[in-house]
Formats: sequence, C-alpha cells, structure tokens
Amino acid sequence: MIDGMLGSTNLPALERSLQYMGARQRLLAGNLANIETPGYRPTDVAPAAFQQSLREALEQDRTDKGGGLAFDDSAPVAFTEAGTELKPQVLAENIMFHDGNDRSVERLMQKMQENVYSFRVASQLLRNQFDLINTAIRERM
Amino acid sequence: MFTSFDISTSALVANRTRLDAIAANIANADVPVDPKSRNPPFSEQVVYFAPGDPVSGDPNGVHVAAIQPRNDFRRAFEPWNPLADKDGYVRYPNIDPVVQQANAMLATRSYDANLAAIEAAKSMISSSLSIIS
Repeated sequence: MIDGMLGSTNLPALERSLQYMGARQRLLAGNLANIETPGYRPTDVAPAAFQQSLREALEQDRTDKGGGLAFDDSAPVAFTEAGTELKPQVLAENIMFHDGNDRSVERLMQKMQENVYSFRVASQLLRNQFDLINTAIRERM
Repeated sequence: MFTSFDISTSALVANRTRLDAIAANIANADVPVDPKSRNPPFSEQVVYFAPGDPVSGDPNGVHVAAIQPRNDFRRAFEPWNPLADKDGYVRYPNIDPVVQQANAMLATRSYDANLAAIEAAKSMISSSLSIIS
C-alpha cells in the first residue's frame, strides 16, 4: 500500500529532479572551485537534457501503467543504489584565456542560482504532496 | 523562466570584458613602442558590443563582437631614450587616462545596473515561489 502511495502521483518525478539538482549543484561547485586552475574546462549537464529524459521516462511509465521511472542509457544522468551519477559535457562557450581555462564567473553563478530556484520549487512541491498524504492519514483538516 | 537571467548575465560578461580592456589600456599607457620588438606595439584596445547572445541564443542579450587596437600613437621628444628614433622621438600609445577612467566608470555602472536587474528577477521568482508554499 505504501508503494502505491509513494510510487504514484508526481512524487517519483520530484524525487528524481531533486537528486539531479543536488548532483548538479556539486558539479557547479566543482567548476567554481577550479575557476583559477590552468587548462580546466568547466562541465555541466544541461537542465533541458535532463528534462527531456524525465519526460520520456514519465511517458514510458504512463504507457506501462506504473512500474516506476526508468531512465535509459542515453539519459545524461543515471540513478543507482550508490547514488546519482551525472554524465557531464565539457562546455566551450566563452572566450578562451591564455591559460586554457574557459572560465566565466557570471554564467556559473547564474546557473547556480537557477539550480537553487528549481530545487526550491521541487522541494516545496514535494512537501505539499507529503502534507496532502498527512492530511489523508489524520482524516481531518 | 530564466530568460531574464540569460540577458543580464550576457551583459555582465560583456562589461567585464570591456573593463579588462580598459585596465590593459591604463596599465600600458606609458609603455613606449620598441621599434626592434617582434611583437606588435600596444595601442588602445577598443571593445565593440553587438546585440544578441550567442551562448544562450537569445536575441535580446549582448556580446562582444570584436576587440580591436586603435593603432594611434603620440610622439614624445626624448633624445636620451634608447628607444628614440634618429630625430630623438619616442612613440607611445595615444591613450587618454581621463577617457579611460570615464569608460571604466561607465563599464562599472553598467555592470551594477545589470546586477540590479538580476536581483529584481530573483525577487520576482521568489515571490512567485510563495504561491505554492
């Protein structure tokens, strides 16, 4: 019964989103830590790529009528028992500096801020969902 | 949802590049031209902006289209200088520190303005977040 309650609705999608954003925040923090490292090329997993995989997984789940979200190998992120594993891509979007680093503090901070907001939205939605379940359990408003 | 971030960030990057060029101009204002040097002589670097942000593909952003030397030099009569030509003149890049300072202030204010735009967008997103909480 508990599986049916937690495995349906939008809880799995929110959970996967939170896992992805947590892993991406670590990735961006790594980029920031290497902002002065010569030859370092920042990496990232684009949110659009993750959202595309999530959409495909949701559609698959819908046609299968349940069974959980399954991400195939082409997805930019893999969810295993050991944790969330990102498959980042090397970015080359900035004027190259003489030390070979591809740094841009502004874009990095922008990405972090966007990630934080997305995380906040997802965690708030998750909390609302659990509040709903709590209300149902208590059987009073 | 984050388009305004993209626009403002492209302006931040462009203005930082402009400030880098201005800093180089101020730093090299008094460096004489060495006629024997194999490197091209330093002259005032001018940064040209153009609309559109190639990184995010947003037509509303801004980017640096080119950084070009102005190739303008002034001559100073310094016959004692080992870099002087046969008439005793040494060439310097024609950089006006006052103009550079003014440009630096413009670039800084522009950076601040775009940062304020980002803060405004952040507070807008924060208020829309309170709808679901």
